[in-house]
Amino acid sequence: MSQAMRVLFLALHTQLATYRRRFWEPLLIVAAIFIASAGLTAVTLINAGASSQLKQFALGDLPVNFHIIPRSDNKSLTRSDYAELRRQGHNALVAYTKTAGRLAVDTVTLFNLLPAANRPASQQNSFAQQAAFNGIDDINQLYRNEVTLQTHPLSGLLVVGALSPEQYKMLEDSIPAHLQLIPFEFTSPANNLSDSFSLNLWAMGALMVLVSIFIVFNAFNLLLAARTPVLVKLRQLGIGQAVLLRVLQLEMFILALVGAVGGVIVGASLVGAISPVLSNIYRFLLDGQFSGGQFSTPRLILLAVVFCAVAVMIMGLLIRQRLTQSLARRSYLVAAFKRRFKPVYNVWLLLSLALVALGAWLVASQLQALLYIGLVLIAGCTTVVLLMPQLMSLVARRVPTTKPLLHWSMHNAVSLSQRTRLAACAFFIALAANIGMNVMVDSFRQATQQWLEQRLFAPFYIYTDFDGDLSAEKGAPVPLLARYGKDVRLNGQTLELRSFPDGAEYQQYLMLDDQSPSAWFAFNVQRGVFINQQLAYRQELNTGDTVSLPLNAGLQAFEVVGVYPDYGNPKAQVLLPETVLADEYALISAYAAFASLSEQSALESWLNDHSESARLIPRSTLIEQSMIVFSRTFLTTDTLNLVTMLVAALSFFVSITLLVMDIKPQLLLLRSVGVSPFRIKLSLFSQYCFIAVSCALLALPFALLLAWLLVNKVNRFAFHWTYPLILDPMIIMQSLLIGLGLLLLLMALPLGRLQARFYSQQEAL
Amino acid sequence: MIAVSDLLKHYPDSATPIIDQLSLEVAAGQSVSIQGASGCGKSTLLALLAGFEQSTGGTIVIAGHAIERLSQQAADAFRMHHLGVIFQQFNLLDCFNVWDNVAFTARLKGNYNADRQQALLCNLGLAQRLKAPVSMLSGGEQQRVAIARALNHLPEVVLADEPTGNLDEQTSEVVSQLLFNYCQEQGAALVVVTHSLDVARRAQTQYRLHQGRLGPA
Repeated sequence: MSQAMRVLFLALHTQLATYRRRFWEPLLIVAAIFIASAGLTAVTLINAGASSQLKQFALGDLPVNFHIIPRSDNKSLTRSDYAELRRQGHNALVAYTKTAGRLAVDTVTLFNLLPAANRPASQQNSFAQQAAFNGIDDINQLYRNEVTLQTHPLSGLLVVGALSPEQYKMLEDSIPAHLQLIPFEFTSPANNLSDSFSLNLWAMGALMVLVSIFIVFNAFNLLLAARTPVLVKLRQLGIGQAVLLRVLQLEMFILALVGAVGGVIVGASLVGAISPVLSNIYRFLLDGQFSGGQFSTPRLILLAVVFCAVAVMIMGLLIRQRLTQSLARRSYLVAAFKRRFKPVYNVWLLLSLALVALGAWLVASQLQALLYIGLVLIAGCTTVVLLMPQLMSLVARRVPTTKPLLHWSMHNAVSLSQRTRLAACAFFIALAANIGMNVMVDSFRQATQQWLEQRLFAPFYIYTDFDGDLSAEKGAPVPLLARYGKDVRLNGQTLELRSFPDGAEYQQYLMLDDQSPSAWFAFNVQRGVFINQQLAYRQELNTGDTVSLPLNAGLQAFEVVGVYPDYGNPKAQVLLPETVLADEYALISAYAAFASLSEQSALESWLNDHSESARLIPRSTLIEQSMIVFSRTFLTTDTLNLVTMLVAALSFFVSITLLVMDIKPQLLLLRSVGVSPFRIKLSLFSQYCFIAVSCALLALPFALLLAWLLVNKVNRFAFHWTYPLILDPMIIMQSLLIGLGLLLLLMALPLGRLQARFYSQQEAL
Repeated sequence: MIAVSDLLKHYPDSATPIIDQLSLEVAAGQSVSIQGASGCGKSTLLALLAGFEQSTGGTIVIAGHAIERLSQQAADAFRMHHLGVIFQQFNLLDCFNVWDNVAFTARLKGNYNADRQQALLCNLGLAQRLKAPVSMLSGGEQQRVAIARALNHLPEVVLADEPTGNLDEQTSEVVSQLLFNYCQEQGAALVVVTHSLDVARRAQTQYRLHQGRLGPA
């Protein structure tokens, strides 16, 4: 063995020998990397599974990968374009249009494209055809009465079946200049919810990684601090800095690799295991399937290895700095460094807080909102690092010296907090995000509940595919109010026109964010309309502005007289008086039935006579079901959120416990001067409480800022709707106490095992 | 003040007892030094006297208290009120400055006196370092802070483990003089374990610990 190898081996052996006494730090590094990679893998796979489901679309057994659409909004696809392309031999083209978020296709053409074995029994039976293509409407059924190509132009031509490169080229060459051939991605009506779900998951995943980074660096710092005496001795014995650097990097790489690869495998297995649950959620929420397990383990592992290498390179910078200092008196260096940079730190703290305060008013896009969240978290961490010890110190100074143990406890807590700042940051981020998310979700829940209770004004609702207007049918035992609908295009976007009853008694059921003084009068005389937030935000419309709507009589201008919340709807919507749409509706989304309980059976029986598909649903059931869907939507993110906080609390606990091991001599002194074991434990626990509560109190304003940001900025720019932020003290306290409780419970556990007697005489004296 | 008779300490993993039928008497105001080879049991003897370790046999009576019969609570109270211990490794409270470290024991006992403490720290040459964090002190300064802390609450018994181990000759002289003077003035019993002949010679009685028993130095 060469001299260099022998030195390297000896240095590595020495480093690894420290594991016998201090195995917590390396274990914490492995655990943090493991959790980060498992979390990120799970989030990636869940999102990939969900996205692939939304992108995979087939008609019967035939996949649809491309479609032909107009090149721009002012161009249109005509029936003659369709006929011409088919005449040129492109028979695999099927015309379609989108209505109310559903797809209506030319089922007759599609029927002929299907293999004979897969065809429905009767070509004549359009209902059978519809059933064969579950979830797809028949375009021929759509274009009836007032629904024409003028009101509902063709959206595009689906290219059904696989397309060879030659066929693709031929088709591309055949299409006229105003059309284009592009990949087809079917966006389901619930796509907005999926986007929201996906964004939520990514946010939680990013949060988990961020928290893990803090945990890794905290553990790494603790490890280096514990190793410094060994490193000093090795350097004093003549082992060079470069050798120690290589040894530490090798050690870190092995630890990172174990954590990352383990995390990838566990994360992927976890997603595989919970696939059925996710699939159920997706089926329930998005009317789709979750396709789990579509991943390449070697690829993910390779990615993990690359990340490990990058992380180790970054850690190398820290190692180099520590090794440079390790032959010097470190305490003096650190003190000098702190003195030198204190003004810089304070300026940075003030600057970041000022940026946070200013930024809140300047955020004007989704990207800016996300960057601003990053800024808020950085400012929060800066506050924890720089301000928390100072604030704790202020409190500690108020403790009277006549209570020496309490006095020591508070001061020692300040000292502990300074040495575990990175772990405190991880806990801070997790707690702030948890409180922020909980406040946001609670605000959303309350707003949704209130909105549903107000908008669903009738005791029962009827959902049916009845061909015609049930409310116009004679003999109904109770009055029925149809909700007429029609989808049109406005400025290149689909716009839902929906009716709202124009009687004065219904005014109280429309919750409005903003309205002009004579809103209801203008609405009732068919001069004004109400628009939803989605339309107002997308097209920057306000009350007093004018919108032109394509009605039967042609483009008709209306004044916007109010803006109403329309939670969860991805579409822009306009409410028109019932009398306007009753003459030219394309669909009826539901009927409000003003029936009492005693009239329910009579109504059901009447409905059975008129429509087999009719479902009579009580208002309370509708609200209940909506709230169940709501809760399920946030179940996954809530779980991820809680796991993140648990991990952060665990890291904080390990960090503090390790530091407490370092103050053993002080604890021994306390015992030697007559402080009982119980009082020592109490004192330690009070220190943990002091640190945890200080961190939590600092997290609170940032958490509320995050909640405000999520509600008013992220939601606003991502989905074009917002809701009022409701600061329920119970929810805030609950989130705070769960976070603190989790941490303090973890921290209290090892106290029970703290030895009541002296450890050994060698340590005591 | 200190009466030890037939003291026995046998560690389970050791063939012979580390302290074997040891007897010792130290009166109030008297000082005793104990020397001996490394590993002969000097620190164990101090740990037994302070009640940090349980003896295997024999009795230890300090200031009228039979140490081995005291409950944990009573032993704690005994240490708080009667003992001053100087540790070889100082065991200073890192989060405090010099002043608060020294004041700690007196505040615990309830006999804190700022003037007395100021005088004590001046005698030990720490007047200029009162507000300094202990982590910023040299080894010698930390040693002196540990000594000041052990004496500040006016204990009746002082147990010192290598009190001048980290000090230069001149400071060692000052510190040991202060330690022995304190015992004479306050009528406290002092047991000092040391390798330093100079310190040992200052004690009224000098012993050498060998094979678990005390003999003349």
